[in-house]
Amino acid sequence: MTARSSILDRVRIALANREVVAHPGSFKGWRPFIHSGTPTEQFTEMFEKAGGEVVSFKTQVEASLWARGFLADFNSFSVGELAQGRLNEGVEPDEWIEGIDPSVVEAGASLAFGAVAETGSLIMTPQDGRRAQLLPPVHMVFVDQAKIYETLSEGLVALKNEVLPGDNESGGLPSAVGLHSGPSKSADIGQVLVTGVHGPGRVVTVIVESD
Amino acid sequence: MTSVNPQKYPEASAQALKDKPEVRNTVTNSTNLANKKRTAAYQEVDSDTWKDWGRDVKSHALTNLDQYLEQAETQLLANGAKVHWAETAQDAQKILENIVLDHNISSVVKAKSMLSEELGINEHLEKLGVLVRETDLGEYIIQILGDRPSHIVGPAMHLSLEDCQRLFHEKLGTPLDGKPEILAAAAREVLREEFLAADMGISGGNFLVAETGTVALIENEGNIRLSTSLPRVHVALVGIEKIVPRLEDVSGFVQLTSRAATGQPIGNFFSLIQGPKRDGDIDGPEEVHVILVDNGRTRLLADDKAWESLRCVRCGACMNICPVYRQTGGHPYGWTYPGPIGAIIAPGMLGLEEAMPLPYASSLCGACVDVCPVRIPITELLVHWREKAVEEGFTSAIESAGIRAYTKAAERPGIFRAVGAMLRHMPLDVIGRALPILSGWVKERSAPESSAKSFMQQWKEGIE
Repeated sequence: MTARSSILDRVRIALANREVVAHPGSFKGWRPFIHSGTPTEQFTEMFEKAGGEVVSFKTQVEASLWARGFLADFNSFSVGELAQGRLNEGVEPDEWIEGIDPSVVEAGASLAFGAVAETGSLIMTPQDGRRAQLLPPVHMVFVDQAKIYETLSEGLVALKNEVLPGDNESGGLPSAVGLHSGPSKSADIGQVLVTGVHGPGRVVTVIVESD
Repeated sequence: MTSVNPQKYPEASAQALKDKPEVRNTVTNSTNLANKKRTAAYQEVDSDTWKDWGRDVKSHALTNLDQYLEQAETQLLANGAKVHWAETAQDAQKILENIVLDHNISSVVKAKSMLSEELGINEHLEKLGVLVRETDLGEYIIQILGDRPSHIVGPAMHLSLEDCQRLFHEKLGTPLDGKPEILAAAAREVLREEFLAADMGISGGNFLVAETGTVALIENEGNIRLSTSLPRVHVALVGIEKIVPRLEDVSGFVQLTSRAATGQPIGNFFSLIQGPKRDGDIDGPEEVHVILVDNGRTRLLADDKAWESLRCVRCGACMNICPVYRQTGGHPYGWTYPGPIGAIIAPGMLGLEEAMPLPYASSLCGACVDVCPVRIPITELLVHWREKAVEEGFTSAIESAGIRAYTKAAERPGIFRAVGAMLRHMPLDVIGRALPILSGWVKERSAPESSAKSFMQQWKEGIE
């Protein structure tokens, strides 16, 4: 008798005479006061409330120009592979952004799969490397406005149905997904809020309104 | 902590109040803050509908648990993860030990996991000579202090800023009056090195999605994401009751739990882990192991009433609101899960005799029932375990004799009136000395003068 079959047997015996409860259906958010703005406005409000920063640009070229300036203010930075493509939009491809270990830099840049208005979250996939998303004290993230989903369910289902190159080519979720909804924070020291405890203490979302 | 001794609760709580009276203030302040945040966060949503939904999804999952566990296992295996089943804490320790030996692991970074506390994982790994580092700031504080968590969400909730300042001054050399930012930065620096060097990351799991084989983890610091992303091996310890059926379900539960625990719309980092690094991934663990743990959960599931407590999402709201928990924090409860939820799951998971005074560590005020995001009928279950305690003879002989005597007297009007008259004309302290069951009570209290006439007499004469 393996542990597996023992456990499953005990579960079945326990449930033998128990009435089965039906699944109530999808979670629908149920808010008495629906946010009056667009998903982008709601995302921005939620993300800023959680301590994050949001900037928005009409085109990727404008966003990239701004982002290059933003990163140039740091002594060192690391840029994920997908974010590199975005940073190089509209300019001659640069060499300065490759091959830097995210553990030693001041800032990291990545591209989010999308974002969620309901919770103010960025949906991060492993394509850009998880280290670039987590180790630098500052994290800058591009997201396309067209992929700001109203609810978390919609965002996750969209991700599950998306075919991502090099990861889940057969569809389904990538190996690991991180929802980032603001800077790293903790109130474990005397209940006082501090930011940047382990992950980035500063998170900047760069919304690209169209491409 | 591994030593389980809820039996000592009455002495331990009295001792805690005597030895560390300041803990009451610290815990009261911390829990008041948590209550305020939770209340505000739940006011923004239709909380009744949320709670009904949470209750029903969890009950659905639990009443189909065998099927969903099998589905989760199939999905995890398809995702490339390895799945283990542990009946007991010893099983889980052994499974982990084998992974440690197979992979030549010498250092581990841990994300906060109450299940790992329950299973005594740290002690076991240390015995194997593995360097174990807690990375959640609260757990880190507890670890360097050599203490135990006092709350399931805020493990160091019983420590004041001054306590932390003293500790960090001693251990990390920060100034005695260092601001929290200074202390956190010092911890970040130390722990960052350990993150980068660790061979293995150990986490718990807030939810396990059957449909996609996903271990879901909520946090705010980023230490869980780091623990599950940097080391070459990730081991997730997951209680079998953590199952939710569908991916869409976690989108509800992460919000339900975050709002209840910390008053946030969502924890600032939410990890959804399917399996190890894939070919196209730049980084991530080479192996992901999921250990599905029973350790008393099927025993609790078998109880016709108390199985509902397995819906618990470990938000800590019931302890935050509890007037009993507030007095001492979690330590005197003598088990990983303190407060109201601990008092109703301990008898089912450990056995009633082992858990014994915990169902009585409550005034049955019901505040916990009001705040529970998955509508666990906590007070009903406290009474359920008290009834069982009486049935099985775990209550004191004096109390049982007293109740029996009262039953006899109450059934006979003549005796009832005679005893009533006697008690009415005797001072409370004299009665207390005469009745051992009351002696402890009257020692600290005085009662108002008894009425000269009984209620029955007044009734006959016409109450004004």
